[in-house]
Amino acid sequence: MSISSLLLEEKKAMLHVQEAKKKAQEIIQNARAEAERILGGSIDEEKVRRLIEEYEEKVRKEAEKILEEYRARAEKIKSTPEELIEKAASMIAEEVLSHGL
Amino acid sequence: MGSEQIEALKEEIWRRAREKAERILSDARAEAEKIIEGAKQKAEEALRRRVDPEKLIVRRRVLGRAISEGRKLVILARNEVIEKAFQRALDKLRVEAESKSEAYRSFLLKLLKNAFENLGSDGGEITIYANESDIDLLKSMVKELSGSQVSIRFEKADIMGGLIASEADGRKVFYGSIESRLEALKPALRDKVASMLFKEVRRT
Repeated sequence: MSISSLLLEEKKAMLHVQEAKKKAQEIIQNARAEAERILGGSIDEEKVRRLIEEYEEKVRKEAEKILEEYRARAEKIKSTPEELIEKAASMIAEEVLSHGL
Repeated sequence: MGSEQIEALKEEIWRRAREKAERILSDARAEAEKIIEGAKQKAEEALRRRVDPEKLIVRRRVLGRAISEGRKLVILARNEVIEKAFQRALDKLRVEAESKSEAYRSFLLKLLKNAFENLGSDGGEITIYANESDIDLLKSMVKELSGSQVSIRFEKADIMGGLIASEADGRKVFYGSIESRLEALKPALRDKVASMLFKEVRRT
């Protein structure tokens, strides 16, 4: 064992680091290639269609709620009290018998 | 330098080398992850730019249809109730006409005066069409109206009440039947009726 064996060990260790650097470059190159693949491809029309369908389903539920509110309003209107209808009818009859005469 | 010291130095050389190699690889992996994540975000952004305008169109179409359908339901309900009030008014007018109430007699008299004012200025014959049950009443009213110099003929008509008067040649016609007056007043009365019927509903 001597200094020369230490130098040899140092050289081996440096090679180990060099290997790691090479591997690191490879990793980054692969990542860049993957990024290019992700960005380079055209938009997946099937995915677009599916996303829009899912959204439409969500909006339909919202629309059903809105329609339900209008239905409730319409029902409330239809259940206008009889005495109010009677009062309006009397007013109409009175107008017919007197208006403009 | 003893062999133990050399061994310790070797270990130190390798510890540092391994540490450095590990850091290099871990930095590279982090960088790679960042590159891919950035690309995915850009792709998502591109997808959003493609999908969002279509989503807006879908939203407007679906909600627009629901709102329009809902408004239609409300309008139909309002019309149904308003028509019910007009139908009820017609029933009331039928009762007035059949019972020859005071209000109805006064109405007939005013109609008759209006008919004379509008027709027969040239002294010609006037034909008065009325419900059969009103003809005697109208005849007596004509007698009461002094100054009516025109010749009058009465004809039965299939009307609920009121009268229709026409000059002999048919050039001038005065429409005063209950049905025609109701129809003529309907557009003007609808808003009034609606505000009477729905003011409570509107508030809520």
